[in-house]
Amino acid sequence: MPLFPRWTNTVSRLSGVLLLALPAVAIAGLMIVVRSTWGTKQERDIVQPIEFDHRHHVGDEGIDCRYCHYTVEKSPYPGLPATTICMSCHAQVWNKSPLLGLVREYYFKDRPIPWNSVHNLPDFVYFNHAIHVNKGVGCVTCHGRVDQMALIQQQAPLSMGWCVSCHRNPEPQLRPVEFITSMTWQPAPGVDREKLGAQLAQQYNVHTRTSCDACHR
Amino acid sequence: MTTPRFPLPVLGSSAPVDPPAVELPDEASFAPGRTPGSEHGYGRSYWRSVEEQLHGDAALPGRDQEFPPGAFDAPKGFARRDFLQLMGASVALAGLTACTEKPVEKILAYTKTPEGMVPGNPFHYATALVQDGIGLGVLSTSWEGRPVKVEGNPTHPVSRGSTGPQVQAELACLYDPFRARVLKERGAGRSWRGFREAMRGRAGALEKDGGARLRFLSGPSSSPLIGSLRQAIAQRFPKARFHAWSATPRDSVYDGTALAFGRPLEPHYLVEKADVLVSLDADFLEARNDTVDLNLGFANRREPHHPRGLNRLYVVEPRFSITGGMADHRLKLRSADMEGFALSLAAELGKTLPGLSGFRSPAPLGGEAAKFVAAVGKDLASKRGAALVIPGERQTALTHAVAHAINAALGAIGTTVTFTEPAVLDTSTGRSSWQALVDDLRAGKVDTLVITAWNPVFTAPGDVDLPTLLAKVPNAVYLGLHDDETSRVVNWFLPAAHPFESWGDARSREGTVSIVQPLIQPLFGGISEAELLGAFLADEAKPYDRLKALHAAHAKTDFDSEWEVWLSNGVVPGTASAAVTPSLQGDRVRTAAGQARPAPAGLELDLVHDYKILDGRYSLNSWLQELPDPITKVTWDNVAQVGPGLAKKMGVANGDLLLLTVSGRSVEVPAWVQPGHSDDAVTVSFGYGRRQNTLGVKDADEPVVVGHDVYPLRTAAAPWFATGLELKKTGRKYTICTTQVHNVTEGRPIALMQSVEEFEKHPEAPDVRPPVKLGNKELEGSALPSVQPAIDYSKQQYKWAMSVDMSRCTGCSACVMACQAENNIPVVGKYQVGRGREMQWIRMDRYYSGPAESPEMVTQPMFCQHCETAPCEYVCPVNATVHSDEGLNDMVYNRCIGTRYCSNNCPYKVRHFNYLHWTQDKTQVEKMLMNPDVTVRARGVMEKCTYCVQRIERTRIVARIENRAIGDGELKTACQQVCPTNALTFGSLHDPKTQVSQRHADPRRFDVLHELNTRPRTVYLTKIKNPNPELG
Repeated sequence: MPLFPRWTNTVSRLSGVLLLALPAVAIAGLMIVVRSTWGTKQERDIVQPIEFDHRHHVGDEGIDCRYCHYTVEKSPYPGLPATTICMSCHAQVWNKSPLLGLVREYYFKDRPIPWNSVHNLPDFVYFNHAIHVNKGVGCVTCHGRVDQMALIQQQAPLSMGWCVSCHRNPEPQLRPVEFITSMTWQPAPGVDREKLGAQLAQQYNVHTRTSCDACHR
Repeated sequence: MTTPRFPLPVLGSSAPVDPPAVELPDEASFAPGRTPGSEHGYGRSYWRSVEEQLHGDAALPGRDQEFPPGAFDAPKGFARRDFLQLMGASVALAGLTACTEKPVEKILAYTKTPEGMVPGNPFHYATALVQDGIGLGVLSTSWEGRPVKVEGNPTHPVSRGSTGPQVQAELACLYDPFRARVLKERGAGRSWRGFREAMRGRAGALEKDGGARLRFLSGPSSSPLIGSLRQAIAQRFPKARFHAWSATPRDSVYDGTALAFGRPLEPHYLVEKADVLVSLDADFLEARNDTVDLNLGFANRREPHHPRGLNRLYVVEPRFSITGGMADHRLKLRSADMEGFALSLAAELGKTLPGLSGFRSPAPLGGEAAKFVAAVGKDLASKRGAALVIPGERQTALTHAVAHAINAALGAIGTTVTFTEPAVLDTSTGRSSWQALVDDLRAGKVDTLVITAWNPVFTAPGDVDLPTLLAKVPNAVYLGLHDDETSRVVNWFLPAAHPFESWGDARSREGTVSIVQPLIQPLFGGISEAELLGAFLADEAKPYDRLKALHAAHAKTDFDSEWEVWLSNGVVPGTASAAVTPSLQGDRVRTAAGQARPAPAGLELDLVHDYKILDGRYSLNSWLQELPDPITKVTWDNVAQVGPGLAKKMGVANGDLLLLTVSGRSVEVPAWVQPGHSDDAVTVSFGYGRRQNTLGVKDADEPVVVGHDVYPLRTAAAPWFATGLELKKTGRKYTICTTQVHNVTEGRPIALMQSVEEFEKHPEAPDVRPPVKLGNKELEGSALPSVQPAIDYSKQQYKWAMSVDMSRCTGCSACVMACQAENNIPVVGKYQVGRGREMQWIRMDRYYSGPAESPEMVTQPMFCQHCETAPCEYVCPVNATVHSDEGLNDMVYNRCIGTRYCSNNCPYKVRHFNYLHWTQDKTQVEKMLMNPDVTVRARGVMEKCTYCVQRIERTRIVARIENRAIGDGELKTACQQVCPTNALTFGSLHDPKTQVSQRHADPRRFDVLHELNTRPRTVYLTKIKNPNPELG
């Protein structure tokens, strides 16, 4: 009679496998979690102090993105509209609406509206809107169909891998700058997307860099 | 247990690590030849301190340790490894807390966006900053209404885009959380309205006798607005008196011109036109508001390829100054003997120049000085029309007058020196103005005294007990940025508005008016000088309205539109003072000179304003306090500089506390053995010794005394120097923290200097030239092996590089301050500097060459060299420092785990490690100082010069949007932009026409430590000297 029954062999092998597998699974699990939409905070509704609906303003009214985000072509920041921009219409339109009560209150008190930020980059990342918009990267490419969002969600993962993937091969993401704010632009039928991308890259002198100092300073 | 070879200092112990004292042995000889061996330095050897010169590297404190003290700091008590073993699991579990949600960040938009504002792009506003009454036009970079950087105004005739170090550090004063916030009457809070009502009542009473008991004590000022307010006050109170007081008076300049020309005039030295310059203790290369343009003019003449060749500078001075460091020949002379020297020079020149006949020296000069005078005289006489003698502000009026007489005889007036009416309101800010007020105070003739001069209780000469006198004044009013020594003894204290918070105006040295415009609302409710003076007038106009009314006269056509242009350009055109051609009253000078007596023998005390904190007004500015002194490299302290001969005679070493006694008044100051200092004098800078809270210093929560106060040694009659100094060793030591000897050179020549003769003989000296030469493809990469693969830079549009012309660099350290402001560099405090933890990305190195009694000086700004084969890169285990495609050595903070391997492997020692979380616990006000374009680094991260990568990227994006290349000169690094001498250039090497390419191809170019084949992108140009063969 051996000291250990035969099944202990299986147990010892199994524990050996588990010993190796468990950390691997744990690490893999963590890596999956940080890459998941939950980890990157994608597709999450951020409630704002004022019920502003991009579906209505962009979709129904067809207001160009740059009417409110007016510095997107010349500044690193797209520019959150000053309250005067809201009031430029809403002094006349819906000027008694209770939904806009807070806007009027902030405007007449001369206090900034405390919007909640949706797209948060780490503080050591310096993203510049102006250069992307001027070189043919459309709003919808990163921000998604805001004309279909009741509350703005983060569509892209905003991870470094996502940034770099486009910086390595920007051409498929380029579009003519005339359509930079279009939510629905597609290449005309019959136009080869790849060729168009290459042509636009040349026309706009697109020159993406992947050196660290392009974004980290 | 064995004793560790390198004892570990313990974090948290209150005392700093004292560097072992190095005593100078008796048998020590200061003769040349005992310098550490260094090959290839053009036959010269270089050293950085007296200890090193005597004994070589071995003598340096901490030399037996591989790493600087404190590099191994570990927490006290619990052993680190035990701690890690026990806590490992807990920490892993605690990591789960990271799974909680980060709070949502708020974005606040404007209610109404200011006109023209693009959030994310800064504005540049033109304004002016004042130093001792003299304005300098500056541009302030303002982010969403928050000024974060000051640059010189390129359209301003004196600044031309440059500033000195104090102007760069001015923002640390603006955002100082220790600034006064409350208007007080005898310590109790009051309102501005309450003050004005009280003053209205007082003024009514004073008006009855014409203001005979009303006095004003102001600092030097050139402001036309203040001038007009004074006139208005004088109209209402005809008997009121205005006195001006400055601890750094320029009285001798105006008294000297008054003696020579009959009336006070402002001299303007056109140093670029001079072939031979003699400085009589004139520190005209210190970058102050009145001398910034002189720096450029001088530096332009230090390049061998200047069409008129190199100039030659002789400096006569007791101490070693910045200007002395640039001199081709220096003569050490007591200040008291300066009159005698000037007269001897006049007498020497009088032998050949008729205008100078009749001058004679009161006492014959000694051997060395006599030889010097003969050689200088000959040199000056041979360059008539292109020669210049510059007298220093510390010297007497007679010295000035004699210098003007020499200049007149040499044909300098109108060619190398011009004169205008003074731009300042008061030509006397020293003794005469001061004494009249003190006499009135003593006699009790003053009812109301309005003080706007900076902290007169602190800066007052030692022979006046100002607090007691002020206590007798029934109504003393003081306006100041801080609650200080003066605010405690007056009835009313008003917090002042910073120049960035108020309307005003200022004139530059040559008269150009700049409007001072506010860039931010007063942070602490400060009040400007103009507002305070306005409280004594019947009308209650605002300073802005007064200013506009005053300057309406300058308008040619439409005032309102011109006013806008003046504001945006920063200068009011056509306001420069007209040049006057004064005629020398030679006989008056001769008569005055005839009364000169030989100076009494004995040891002399020389008082100088500090290179960093001036008269003390910047003593609370931690940036400037931590800036190493351009000469001594001492931080956070003032020292008594003694010559090496005197030090040897007295057995004094660095850090020995000395008791300095003059006319019965004594102070204790630590000694500093200063090579090249006169052995007959001791030099101390004033402004230190205040008990203060200092912004941003981690270890100093409690107010501490910084440095030693030497104002008690001063008298109004002898503000700058006094003979009869008694020097006594107290036997106690004092810890001085200096930055220059934190690393060792192992005897290798780092900064190179050669004479113009040597340079012309051997323009190519292969042993100091890099083996890799521009455009030499054959040698490129193959001359020396490298473990790193070669990067092909030809594909990229730019190949960034820098060059430093050491012939131009004076070591003024404005670049260090500019870098600190631009790159959010923290200050660490004196104790941490003592541990070698200073964070400034630019180390302004200073080397001496030659004997300790009369060394030559080379200054060399040292920062990341951006090596093409960078030794730091291949030792980083996490790729936190990598090369960019354009040749920058990138530092990626978020990857850095703080192994410090990179710093160990850096041969230039330019990497700085965040040993502690310096930026933690910043107040809201301090946070406003941060440049939003640059990451604020945390603890445990390495950092170093980035070539201002944030500026490169910003400029690149603007250029790329406009589909063009970045032009040469369009992009400037912070250090390059501020440099008063244009010593630094930055640009792309791909274009051979850029200034930086040309300097890289200059025959004077050398790469520091080129034998390591690091192939630095930052190269240096040798310093060229132009010695007079007659002086050997």
